[in-house]
Amino acid sequence: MQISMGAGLKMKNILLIDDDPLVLESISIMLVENGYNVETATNGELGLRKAAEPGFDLIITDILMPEKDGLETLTELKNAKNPAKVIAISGGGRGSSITYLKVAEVLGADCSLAKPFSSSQLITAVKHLIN
Amino acid sequence: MNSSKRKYIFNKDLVIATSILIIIFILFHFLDAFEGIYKLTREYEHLELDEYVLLILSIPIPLAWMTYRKSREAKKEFDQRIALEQTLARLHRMEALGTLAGGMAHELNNQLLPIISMSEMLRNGVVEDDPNYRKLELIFIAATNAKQTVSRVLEFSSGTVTNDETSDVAKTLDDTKEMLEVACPENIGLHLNMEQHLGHLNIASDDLQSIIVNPVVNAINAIGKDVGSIIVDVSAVNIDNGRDDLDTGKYIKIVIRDNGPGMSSETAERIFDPFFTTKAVGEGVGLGMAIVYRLVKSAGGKLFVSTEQNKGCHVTIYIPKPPLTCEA
Repeated sequence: MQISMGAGLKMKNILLIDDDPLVLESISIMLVENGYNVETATNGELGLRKAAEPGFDLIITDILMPEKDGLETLTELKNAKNPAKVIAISGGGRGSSITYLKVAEVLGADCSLAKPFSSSQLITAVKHLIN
Repeated sequence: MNSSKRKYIFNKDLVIATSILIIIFILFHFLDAFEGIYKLTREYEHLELDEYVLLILSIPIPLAWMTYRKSREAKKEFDQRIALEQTLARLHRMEALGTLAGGMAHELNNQLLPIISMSEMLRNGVVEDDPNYRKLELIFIAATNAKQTVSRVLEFSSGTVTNDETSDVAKTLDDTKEMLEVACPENIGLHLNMEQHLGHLNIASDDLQSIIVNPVVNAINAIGKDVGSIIVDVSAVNIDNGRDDLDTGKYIKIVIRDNGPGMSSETAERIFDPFFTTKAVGEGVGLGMAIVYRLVKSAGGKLFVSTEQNKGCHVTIYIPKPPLTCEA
């Protein structure tokens, strides 16, 4: 990471969509401390609007959200042929989070993480997708 | 409760029927009906009226037989419906609780994320002999444990139990026995009787242990400070007569008996409901018997609880044995 940044490669941009402010901030901190540029959105609608701007390498979206949930967001991202990779994250709901995440992967998420995850799990997944 | 009401109706009907019979008899008596019929039949002997009268009089016999058959069928259907409704009601309750647990788990998972990830990051930034290292590690470990608790509740409420392990019944029982002996206070005598050659079951040994431990712990709690005894019998049985609605085959039968105070019918009815507990707040979450129910069901087994107030409690569990492999 250090070396590649030193080599003058531009920082990777990540869009983070989650309705829980504490989760949003925590994940931002994990990503920023590992050298990523992070933009945030608090629901799917806002997230999609931001995602329309070019330049995002990765989009991390929660599944269960008010306004527009993650599965809808994911579908619209894929319909808009957005080139960014997508990680779906979920804390479950009725049924286990695994079910939601499986659906997300079927809908086109590149990877999924069940909340709560540790920073090492997140960073491993992120590196795997965009480095 | 229900049967006593039905019995009452039966008695009332009997009284009404008898009264009608007596009234008819008195009426016939005053009208000299038999005399009349006798005279009539003698007068027109060529019409053979006697036979007709006899025929009319014997009509109630097949009618009574039919009524008896019909009422038996109706009772059977009625009982089936009641059982079905009870099952449905339980399913609805489970589902409502599942939704509740699911919503709670979602919230908790979100709330745990900052705790787990931030404590991990902080800990990773601290050298191991720093006094704060252990403190941060404790936060991280505790939060990770909480995550496991949440996923267990969620797994339970969504009804996914994975069963691809097998367990050696005798070995599991030995381990369980040791554990129970420690847990059992001195005022309670605990006896575990098991047959030899119990073989294997298609169920994880942790799960088998929890199937036995939960009812025993309930029995220990029920007996409390009184002197009592708990007897656990484990045997291999062959079922071929449809006993207890079981399919024909080999089963491991586990019976847990105690001579504690037993349960009221209200408690017994809800014993398998998740989050139902008679213990004080903070002493039990009420998942014990619900878990046993789920485990036994998912292993294809059946369980029965019979209890009477002040006469203790019997928990009978049947778990089907896997088809015979190499073991004798």
